[in-house]
Amino acid sequence: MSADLERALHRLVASVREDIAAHERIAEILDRQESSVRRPSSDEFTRATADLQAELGGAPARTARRDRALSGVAGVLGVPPFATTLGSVVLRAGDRGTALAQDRERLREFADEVDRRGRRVATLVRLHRQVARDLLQVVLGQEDGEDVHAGGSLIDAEV
Amino acid sequence: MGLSTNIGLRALLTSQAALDTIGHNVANANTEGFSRQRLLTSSARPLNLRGLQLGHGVQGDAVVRSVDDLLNARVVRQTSSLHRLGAQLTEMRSVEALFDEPGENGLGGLLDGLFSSLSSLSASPEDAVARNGVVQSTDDLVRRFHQITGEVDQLQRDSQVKARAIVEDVDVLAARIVELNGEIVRVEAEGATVANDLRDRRELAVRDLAKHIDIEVRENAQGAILVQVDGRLLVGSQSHRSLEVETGADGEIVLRMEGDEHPIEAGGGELAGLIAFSERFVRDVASGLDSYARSIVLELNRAHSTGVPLDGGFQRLVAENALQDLDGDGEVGDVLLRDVGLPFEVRSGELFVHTIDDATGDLRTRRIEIDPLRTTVAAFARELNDIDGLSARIDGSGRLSIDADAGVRFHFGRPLDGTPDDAGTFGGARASTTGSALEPFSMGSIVQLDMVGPVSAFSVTIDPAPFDAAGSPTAEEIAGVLNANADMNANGLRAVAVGGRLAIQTVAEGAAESFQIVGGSALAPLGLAAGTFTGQDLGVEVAMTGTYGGDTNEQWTFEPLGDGTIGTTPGLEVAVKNAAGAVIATLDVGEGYAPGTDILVLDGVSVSFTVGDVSASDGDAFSATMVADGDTSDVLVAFGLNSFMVGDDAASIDVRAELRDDPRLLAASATGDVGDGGALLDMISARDADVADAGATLGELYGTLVGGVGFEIGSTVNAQEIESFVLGSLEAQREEVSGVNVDEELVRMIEYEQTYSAAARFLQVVGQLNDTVLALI
Repeated sequence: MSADLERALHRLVASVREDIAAHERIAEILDRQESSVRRPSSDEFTRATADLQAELGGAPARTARRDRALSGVAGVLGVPPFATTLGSVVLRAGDRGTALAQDRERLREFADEVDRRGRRVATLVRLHRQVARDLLQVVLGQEDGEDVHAGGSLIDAEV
Repeated sequence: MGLSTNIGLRALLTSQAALDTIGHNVANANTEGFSRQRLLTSSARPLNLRGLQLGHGVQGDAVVRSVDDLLNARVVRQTSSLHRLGAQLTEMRSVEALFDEPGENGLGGLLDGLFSSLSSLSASPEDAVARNGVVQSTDDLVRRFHQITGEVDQLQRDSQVKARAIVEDVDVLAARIVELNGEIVRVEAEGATVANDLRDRRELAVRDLAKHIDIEVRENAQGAILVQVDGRLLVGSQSHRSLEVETGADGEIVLRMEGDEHPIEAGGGELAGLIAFSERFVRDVASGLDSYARSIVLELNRAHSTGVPLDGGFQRLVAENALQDLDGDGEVGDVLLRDVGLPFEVRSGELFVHTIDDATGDLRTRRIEIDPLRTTVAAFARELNDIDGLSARIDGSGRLSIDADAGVRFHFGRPLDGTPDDAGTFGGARASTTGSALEPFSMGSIVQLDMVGPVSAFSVTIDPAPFDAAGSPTAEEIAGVLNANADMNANGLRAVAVGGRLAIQTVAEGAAESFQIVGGSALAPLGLAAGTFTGQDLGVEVAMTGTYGGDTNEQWTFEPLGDGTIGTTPGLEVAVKNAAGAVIATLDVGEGYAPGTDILVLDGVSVSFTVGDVSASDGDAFSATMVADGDTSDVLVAFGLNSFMVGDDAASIDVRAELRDDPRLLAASATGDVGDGGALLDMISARDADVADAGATLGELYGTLVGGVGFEIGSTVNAQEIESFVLGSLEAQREEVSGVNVDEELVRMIEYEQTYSAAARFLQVVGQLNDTVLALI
């Protein structure tokens, strides 16, 4: 095992751990969102959504770093980057891949958790949004049944 | 997994309930009486699972109303106050509209029209068209009185109809509250929850009830409310009682609780307003109208009753007002004038009755003293009967009628006697002497007058006991005794009353006529002096002209200040004394006075004397009555003799029927002279004179009446504005507590919706990122 592989694996583990931390934060934000929908607390929901937006703002840079780390490992191992997964790296790294294997497992758990919470919050939000829409339609809806969320019509002021 | 699904479902349901509540609020934002509702949430009871206490999400505990019971109670009370004023004001404004002021069809304008027509007639009092105009104007006025008083009565009746309709509504609302009571108690007992909307509906019914009548509301332990009116139960938890409207003695509204004897004192609500209107306001207005109509009748009749009609006097007059035998003994004659049930008060005063001999034109005036506390109907009629040429009687209907003999007319005006010394006691051709003492004469015992006439010497005995006022006979009464004496007649002597003094004279005229007073105990009380009195061939003739313009009735006595010949004797003067004996004028009739020339005495009255001898030593004197008011006792007004109008209130006021049929009877003249419109001027002056006992003129009385109505309305409007402001403030407070702010609710929902939209987009990104990560794993 070369020193190059060692360095590449260290960079990849660091990247995975960054992803784990990010997922942990996203999971926490989704948890707050879910709570605020249940309560309901509009302010809390808004804050959580803003936090999520901020968290998502860091995702592109993190993805780039992860891609670079994976490409590095793939280059050392002599495999094409698009065919590289964390599982394949663990297999190829042997004993040196133990830490990565543990981090990979943790990342899977957090990703699964984010997936579950995301679906749950999405479902809640979708339903609540529909309820709110229905109510607004009832209260503000026009007699012709036009959706209150539809934009206004342009009129030709020159005529 | 199952637990989290359950938590999610519970959260969803709770949130949906919260949004449903918001939607319910928004949908009922304009529903009267709706109170804002909100969902109370709490964390669900945790589950004990495998030794762990796991959270179980959120739960909705209850939907509660935002209400302030104390505030609601104040709103109910304030609503009652405001609606009381509102109902009262509506009715009062209807009355105000009836007066039509300022306007020519209002009573004020029509009264002005009447005075204007009187003024036109005064310019030509004999004008038949102008007389008809006065009758027409008066008709217009009385019709308006009848119309207004009828409309006021109708408004009072209408207020009762309204009250009955309101009472029916009260019944419906009371039944509704009972029904809601039942539903609320049942729902809250079964579901252990608060029946929010039912309570809102009940509160609305209570508020509607408070609009009709003021109520006290309290809630029992089961959630039912009990409603009381004036301390009596109107609505119980399971039943209610009804209100009943009755008509009071004066047409006012009387409110009772079903099966209850005592009337309800409504302090608020429309019913209280209607009761206050029908009871106090209508009574005040009706009373004001009656008082105004009565004042018009009184003042115009005062002037008219002493006026003289176009024919110069009456042959017959019948009183309009019937006398009542209030003591119930079957005889009206013995009743005092005060107590005989006349519509107007008889006061202490005097009545002057004038008779005119159509053949000679001679005017005779008789003064009748009236004291309502002493003068009976019979005594008054007797006084009239005692006047030569008149007869008076009370007919079967209790009305006094006065008839004149053929060739005689009478009236109660203020004519000036052009020949005041008919008896010739002031330098007349008869032998004559006039006593210096004024009636009533003081006679404590029987007295005697010793005289010598051309036929015999004789004595006349006078017993003071039989006179009306024993021991205090009048000159007329003493003259009556003397003239009834046979020796007086046999000696060609007579006695006359001259301004309250006694004069004794020969019946025949000329220098050959004479008699003696030789003594007797009667000399002192009668003021006579012993002596020989001789007539003269050329007697002084006295003539009086003008119109008396003084303010009070007077008896003027003219006495020479010395003996002499009119127009010849230097310094010869005539003193003019009033009834009290005070000299009010001294006339120079001696050298330099051209006999027959008018000398102004006072107050528009002039006198002239022809040539002749006058003698202070012989007690020469004559008197003349100056009448400013022919009836200061109002006995003519009270009896309705020579009335212009009849009736004594707004409903009965009218033009005297005879006068409407024959406007010639309109008594325009004060003296009976052709062209005189003195009585009309008296009637016109009534407009600006103070009405008796009112301290105000007719115009001011009416101004007070109309102004009073306006003031009442103004005060009520002010009170209404204040009450309305207070209620508005309370409603605003209630709105803050219980009302729905649609904007806030919608903003809240839109915020939810927008946040959800943003969140959905972010969740989508989260999912994509997560998929990428999972693909890498």
